[in-house]
Amino acid sequence: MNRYVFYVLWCDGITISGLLLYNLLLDERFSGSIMAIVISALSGMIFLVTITKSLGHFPKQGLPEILRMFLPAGARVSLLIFFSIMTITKGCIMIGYASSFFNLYLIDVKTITIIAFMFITVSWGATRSSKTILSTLELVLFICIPIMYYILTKAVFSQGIEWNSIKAMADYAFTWPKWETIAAANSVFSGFVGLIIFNRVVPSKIKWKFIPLLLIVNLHILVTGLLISIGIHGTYGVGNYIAPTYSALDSIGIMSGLFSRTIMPYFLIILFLLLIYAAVTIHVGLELLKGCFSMKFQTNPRKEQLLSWIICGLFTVITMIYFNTFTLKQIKYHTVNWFELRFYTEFLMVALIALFAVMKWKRRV
Amino acid sequence: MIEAFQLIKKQLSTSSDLKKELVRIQDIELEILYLVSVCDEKKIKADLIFPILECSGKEEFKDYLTSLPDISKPEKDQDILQKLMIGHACIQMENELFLFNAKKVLNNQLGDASSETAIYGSQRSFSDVIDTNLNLIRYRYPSPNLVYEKSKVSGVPQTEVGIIYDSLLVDKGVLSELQTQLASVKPEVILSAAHLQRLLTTRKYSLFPILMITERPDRVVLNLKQGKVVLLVEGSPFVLIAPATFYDFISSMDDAFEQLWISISLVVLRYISIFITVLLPGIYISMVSFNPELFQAQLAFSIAGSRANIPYPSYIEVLIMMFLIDTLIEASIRLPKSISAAATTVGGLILGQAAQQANMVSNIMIIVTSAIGIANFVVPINSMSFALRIVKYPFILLASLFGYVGLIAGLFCLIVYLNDLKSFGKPYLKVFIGEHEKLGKL
Repeated sequence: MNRYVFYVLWCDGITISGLLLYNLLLDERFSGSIMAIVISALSGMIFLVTITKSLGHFPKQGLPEILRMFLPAGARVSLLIFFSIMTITKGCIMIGYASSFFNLYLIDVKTITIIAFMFITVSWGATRSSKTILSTLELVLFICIPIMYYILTKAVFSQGIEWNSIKAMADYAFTWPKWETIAAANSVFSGFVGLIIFNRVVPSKIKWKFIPLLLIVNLHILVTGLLISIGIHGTYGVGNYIAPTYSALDSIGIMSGLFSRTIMPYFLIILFLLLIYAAVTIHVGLELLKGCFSMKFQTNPRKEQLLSWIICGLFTVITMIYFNTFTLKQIKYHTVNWFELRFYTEFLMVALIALFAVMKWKRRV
Repeated sequence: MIEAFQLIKKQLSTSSDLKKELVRIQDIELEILYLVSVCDEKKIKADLIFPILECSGKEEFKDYLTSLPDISKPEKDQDILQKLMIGHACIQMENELFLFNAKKVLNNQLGDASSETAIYGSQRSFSDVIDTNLNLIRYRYPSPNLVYEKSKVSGVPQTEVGIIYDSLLVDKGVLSELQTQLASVKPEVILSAAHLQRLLTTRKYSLFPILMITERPDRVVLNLKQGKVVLLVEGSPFVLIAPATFYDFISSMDDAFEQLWISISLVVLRYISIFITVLLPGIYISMVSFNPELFQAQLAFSIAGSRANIPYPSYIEVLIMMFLIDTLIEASIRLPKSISAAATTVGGLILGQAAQQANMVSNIMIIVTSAIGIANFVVPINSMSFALRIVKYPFILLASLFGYVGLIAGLFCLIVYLNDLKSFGKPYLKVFIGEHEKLGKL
């Protein structure tokens, strides 16, 4: 197993829970978000194991190459375009969300200015080679993870946490969740989408003992964030905030060290993670899109770069317009629906690759 | 060949240091042609002219001549002129031409290791002459696998460049890429190893050095053992090592000699220093102008208090101080040693008390400036230290536009840029835990 595979899955879980999922799951806290986490962990693991086993049959090949072997051109191109748009949108939504919150907490610049600036940075990262992105990912995690755990530990043991309100949540543990809550919670484990491209450079095998470890690290971050928010604001009070976790961290002071409040180092870390997360997802989306074109086009670095930058520019403009038109509350509703669509997309992706792996295996036998 | 000899005589006739000697003793007739400035006349007399007197005839002298180790026969006409220029004497004897190596070497003294010092490492640096440097390396690395290849860059005049590597350990891909790049270098003349380093850098706009430059024989031997390729340049006391990784520039030779925990702590200290020297100006700007609430309230108050009398925004303050400290560093490097002490004293006074008392900059800014300067000097290799001096300016710009968001984005871009760099096909920013490919596996 290659350590980069683990990084891709790890980074996805941490970032998406830190930026989006806390809000979505806290909204549904009385209607089964705890159960949703458990179910989504199961489904996520099934997806992960299926896709890593299937990709093992296609060494050094990404999804575009696999589709090229089995599908006619029309089906291949439409599938790839659909997958790539879904993947790039994931990055765009995260950048948009984060920019809105950074606008509230960090700088007083217009949200669209921050979005544009972040997109320039991320696009530059995303248009590099896969190897560059993977080693950047390693370094970013190396810097961020220790501080992340320090902050969360500090927060969990802070005086302000009311453990009774957390215990009260046990009453809602066995409520059957709504379908979209499961779909949203499942996105913690959707890091495997990166593997369909990174399979070209690193073999996406994963040892069985790392699967529970992955489950633990991703769920730990997700559950800790939820606990802190509920513990600080109370079981009902949590519903009054637009970003409960950030408000909770904002109210916790780090008595030791340079920083005064927990939220500031947390934001710096989450910003750093967001940049690499968005670079990874947009890179994967761009590579999928490039798979639509002929091999001759793909070997021309000049045209390839131009195409990547055009796509990035297009998505920048769309994201800017979208986040300028709608309010955060509307965007939240859209995001929940988008998460459901994402779940089906990923299911289709996993099913297709598994099917092709079986076909290849049968051919050989 | 004989026509070539006459032609050379004609071509060089305007040089006053050309010496033509016609020797006619018994039946032996010799014509010797050499440049006095680069040839050892004593050697020519002792090895070529005195033996004539002891020889009985023409045949015996010819046998003696061909048996000398320093004698060679030119293969091409072009060879003769080239060799004459680097200290060979050309001998014409009975329609035959010989080249006699009578190099006069004046600058083969070893200097003190001054630009890269180490406490326990070698105290001597390389000399200006390839042969002396090769001697130093051979004695330190007595392995039969050590290969020395002479190479020349294309174009006239040709500076001699030597390639050294351990044939068992060397990465073949790196070696062949280096050789092809060396063959494609077309300068007027190579001034020094650092000049060759710049010519070998294929990226047009580059900031970080992708070849290691060093004057220490022990570092060269360490790198040979790691399977790297070493380039020697005639006339330069520095050598180049390829491929280089970022970590090489942060390691000092003493790291290999100290106890494990000491060297680990020193390396960590250097990495922290890099972060300070690159990020601290940006952090100061973001803290003063964007998010004073980020740090403890007391710290924010004391910074705000010290800035109370400063009439302009923080980034102007930072730019003034950064400009002053960079000019001070530059001045103290370029000035003659006797004046540079005075320059640093004057500069230190200005940067220290006067600027603060005149309300030009705040107290804290002076501490920040000196922290940046000191942290910058911790980087052991100068080329990397200079690169890091430049890197902080984009960060100042980003921080003045977007505060911490700009700073983090800049750090992200820096990491991506360093990861994207390749030194002769090898990744530049190999993280220290990934030294071997095997370690990539969990």
